[in-house]
Amino acid sequence: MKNNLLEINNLYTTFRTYAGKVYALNNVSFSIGKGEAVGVVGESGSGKSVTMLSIMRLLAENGFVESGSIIFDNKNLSELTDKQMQDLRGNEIGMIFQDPMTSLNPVFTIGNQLVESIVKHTKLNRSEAKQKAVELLKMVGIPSPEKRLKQYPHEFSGGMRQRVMIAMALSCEPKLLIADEPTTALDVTIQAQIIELMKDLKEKLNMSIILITHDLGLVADICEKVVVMYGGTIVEQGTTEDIFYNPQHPYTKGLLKCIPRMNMGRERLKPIEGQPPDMINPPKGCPFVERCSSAMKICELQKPIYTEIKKGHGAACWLHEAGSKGV
Amino acid sequence: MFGYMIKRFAYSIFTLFVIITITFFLMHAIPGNVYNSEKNLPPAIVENIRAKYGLDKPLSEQYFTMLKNTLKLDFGISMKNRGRPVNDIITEHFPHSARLGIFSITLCLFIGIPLGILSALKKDKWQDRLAMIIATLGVSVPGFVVAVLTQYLLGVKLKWFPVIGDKTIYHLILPAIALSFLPISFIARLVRSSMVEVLEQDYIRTARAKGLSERVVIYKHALKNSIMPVVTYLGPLIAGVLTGSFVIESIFNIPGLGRYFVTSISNRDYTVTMGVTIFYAVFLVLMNFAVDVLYTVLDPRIKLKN
Repeated sequence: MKNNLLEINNLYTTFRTYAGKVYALNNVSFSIGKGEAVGVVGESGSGKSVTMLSIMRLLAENGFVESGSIIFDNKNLSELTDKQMQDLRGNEIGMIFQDPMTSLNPVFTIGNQLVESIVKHTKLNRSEAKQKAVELLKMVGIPSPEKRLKQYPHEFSGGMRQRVMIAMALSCEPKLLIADEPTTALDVTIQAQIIELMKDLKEKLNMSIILITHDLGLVADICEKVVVMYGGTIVEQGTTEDIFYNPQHPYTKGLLKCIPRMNMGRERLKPIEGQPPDMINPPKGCPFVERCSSAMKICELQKPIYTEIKKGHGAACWLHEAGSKGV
Repeated sequence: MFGYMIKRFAYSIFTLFVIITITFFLMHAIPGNVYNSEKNLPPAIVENIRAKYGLDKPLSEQYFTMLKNTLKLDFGISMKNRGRPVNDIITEHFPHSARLGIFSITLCLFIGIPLGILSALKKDKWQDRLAMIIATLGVSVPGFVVAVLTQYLLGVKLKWFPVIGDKTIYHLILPAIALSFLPISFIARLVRSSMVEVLEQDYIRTARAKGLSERVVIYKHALKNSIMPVVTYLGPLIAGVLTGSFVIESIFNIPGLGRYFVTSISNRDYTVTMGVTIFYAVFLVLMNFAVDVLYTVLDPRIKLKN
């Protein structure tokens, strides 16, 4: 445990809306070691992005971390002042967002946007920071970086913009990179390039990565650990092998069945029927109960407890509780 | 850019031509004449006056004479203020309007924009509500009401500011408040709505995720993106305010151009009406051009092309 870079313990996050309180995260705990890549998977609304925004303390104004702790590099993030948090963001934790088309400010040059965070977090002056920006663009594979620095986001293609986002997130050599669906908005060939780039940089800089995605293929490609989220809770986590070859939770199994395989023949993909739960009135029991093919009576009545079946691999499901069989 | 300028210039000339033509014929279509107000003029004198100002000639001839003189930047002689060239009237009275105008526009920008930002940042809180109530008042209460109220309260009752005239900056405060209350309110509302929208954009979240201070996020990243509607509004606003407001100038007894303009219409002082209209139109065309150039400075996605 002592080598963990980030530890999230029993995190509860809610949003206050006109329709009522939304329980977005319920008891989320996981950890990331130094140099480790963790994939966070789950469908839209499962709480992946909210978890990351909670870490960054960038939740919308109506979002609140109710309880739980986030320990990053031995610092409790919820105890830091706003100023300390600003010094941490973009410096020790870099973040890449889903849509590169809208994540860059359209009215400032790429150079301006890169340089401002370098100047903010390092002791470099503007011209040194510019040099650094050129190196960064080179590193993420953008040709003629000196010229590109003077250009605006609309003069870049989607893939190039995502590279700029990555360069920006990496500009201060963060210990942790949070990538929130970094390839979702890109076409497949560009996706592969971006992923290669991230793998490469992870090796080079020995950086930890949290990769949020609903693409399980991606996870298998670069992550050592996987966290599966559903309805604001972690339903299963383990090493990539554990999750892919020995899934425990019916939801994880369902997700895996949704991936097309080369050797499938004419067999149909099996979607998970139904809708995710309404988080304003979260179900009393397991959030997955309504869509679960092996649901039992107890699943409706009580939340399953997260239990490890071996070190580092566990699931929150009543099927694994010896006493609950057949209830 | 150069091609664009040429094209834009040609369009401007055409616009001015249309404005001049319409104004000329509308002006002459109003019943009455410059010597109307004098009682029972003998026909011989009327004939003399008409001959002196060329009013006895056919309208089309008058029109072309006027066009020719306009090209020479000669707007003729005022028919009412005997012997005064229109050019003199403009050069003498425009500075009064311009001084008040520049002061008012400074107020508009330095109060309107911060008020809008404050509202957007405190959206739905009491600061926002208060600012928006003031802004709604501002757009709905006419300028002359504001003028008289400020004169009475700040001038007569509290004796803080002089009530009339424009001798010093001090004199200009009340008329400037009256003149800028509406645009301040309008700008505040514009900034608020675009700022609220911009603050929800992904790039603002990116800026925060980079660890930039809230000050940089708001005043650099958000403001430059939300200032566009203000720039659009600023063109006609500057032209209008600089060339004077008849009502405000009358109430505060400021010898500006606005007063001359309106009295010239009721006096059927054709040359003054025409001259001031052209002056105003040129101003408006120039300001709109300036706005277009300013767009390209603020938003690199906008390019001036023909």
